[in-house]
Amino acid sequence: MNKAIEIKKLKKSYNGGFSLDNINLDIPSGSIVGLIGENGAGKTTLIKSILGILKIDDGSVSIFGKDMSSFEDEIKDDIGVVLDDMFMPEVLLVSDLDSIFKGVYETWDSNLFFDYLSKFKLEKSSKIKTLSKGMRKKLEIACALAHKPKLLILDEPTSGLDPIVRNEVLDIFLSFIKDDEHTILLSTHITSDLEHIADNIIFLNEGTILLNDTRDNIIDNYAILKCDKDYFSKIDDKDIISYKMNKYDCEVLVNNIRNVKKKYKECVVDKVTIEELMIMMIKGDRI
Amino acid sequence: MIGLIKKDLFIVKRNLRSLLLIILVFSFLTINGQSEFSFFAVYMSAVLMMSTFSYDEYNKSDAFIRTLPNGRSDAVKAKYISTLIIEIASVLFSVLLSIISGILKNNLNIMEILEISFYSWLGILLVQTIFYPIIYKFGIEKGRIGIFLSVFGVALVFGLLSKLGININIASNILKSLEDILVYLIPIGVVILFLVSYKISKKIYSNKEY
Repeated sequence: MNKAIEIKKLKKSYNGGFSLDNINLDIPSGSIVGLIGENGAGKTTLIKSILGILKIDDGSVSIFGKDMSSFEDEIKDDIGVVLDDMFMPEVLLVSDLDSIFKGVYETWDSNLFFDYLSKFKLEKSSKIKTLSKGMRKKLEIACALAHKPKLLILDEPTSGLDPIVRNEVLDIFLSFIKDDEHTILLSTHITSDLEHIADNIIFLNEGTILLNDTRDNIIDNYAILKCDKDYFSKIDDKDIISYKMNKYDCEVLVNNIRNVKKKYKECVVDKVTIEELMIMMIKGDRI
Repeated sequence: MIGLIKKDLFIVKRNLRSLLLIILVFSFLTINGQSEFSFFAVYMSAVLMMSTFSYDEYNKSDAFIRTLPNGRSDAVKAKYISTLIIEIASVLFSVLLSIISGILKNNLNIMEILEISFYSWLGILLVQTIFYPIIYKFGIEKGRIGIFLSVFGVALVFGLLSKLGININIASNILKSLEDILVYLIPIGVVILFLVSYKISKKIYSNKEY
């Protein structure tokens, strides 16, 4: 398995105290990897560290097998980036971007860019600032794709978009990933998007990786067991990842759904959504 | 890097119409020759270049530019080159308008026009040379305060000198006596300071986190 991104012992701290602590991560080529976590979990810091926007305190980042600190410019020719609220000045026209990026990327394809513009119904003569949030996001995605990158790194690419535009954007990602050499790393709050498209889920919490697994493993193995409060004491501690006491019952996050179903036949055991998993892992109590 | 230069030129282009209008109005208002007009034209081009910093900061473009190939190494170089391009264009434009104005007013003095335009440009370039590293360090918004403080500081120094009874005219007389040498030294000095300023800005930018 080729690695698109390889992160070893990455550390990044701010004066305010927040830090990414000892992040080790491999992102395989040909996959869509979703980065989730609550606000301030470190998703954007991790993405900025990978891209060299932030200077890391320790560790290393390799992309396509090359060390980012030594081959930054060469590597960036093959990366398409969409950042949350960071782009070219909005006083520019959509058509200006073609001229600008032609002077930035060796592989910039103007025809492909204009194809995306017509596909997304974006007017060349529009000023960026006149575009709606959804249109602007599409423009950023067109710019990220028009130099034919192998890796897309996207920070909240679907935030603020209505469900129809979101679906269109996800379709673009799915068609991008059809090429086996293409990889996507995207952070998002909208976990339902990941249930549709992600191969792997990385769950960040307070600067550390809480979970790194395939989407199928997560959806097939994790579950929420619902029981009344009296029954809770009968559940084996080893089966409990976290739990939440409600007014009349309790919910328990468990792994290995088949065993749990056999073991606790009196209880309701439902498959977990990524959102529920995230909430239970962050907000749930631990034994 | 060409792409990043184009970015600044496009931003300036978007505001060019209003600039040209201001320059044209000002050119009709200046009655006694070209000096105020030449200075004003170059000054306005400098203001336009400063506005590119504002647009970059407002849209967090610096962070985005870091993700581009050669973004880290070329961003500052592109800004300094854009500055030169815009100001040379502006100097040429002001020279052209001054010549037209001189012909219309029947007081054309080409040498005077060239001299005034050139030294106006050097003066503005010197100011930018000092301010660009401040802007890169603190950002345009905080940088404005730095710029204000440095201008205020210079004014304060001159104010104090005159309060303390030190005659500024002495310094001005010395400068006058060195005029022949200064004609060459000032442009060379500004060029050296411009290069030093570029090096400092580049270092600040490459160490800065966005």
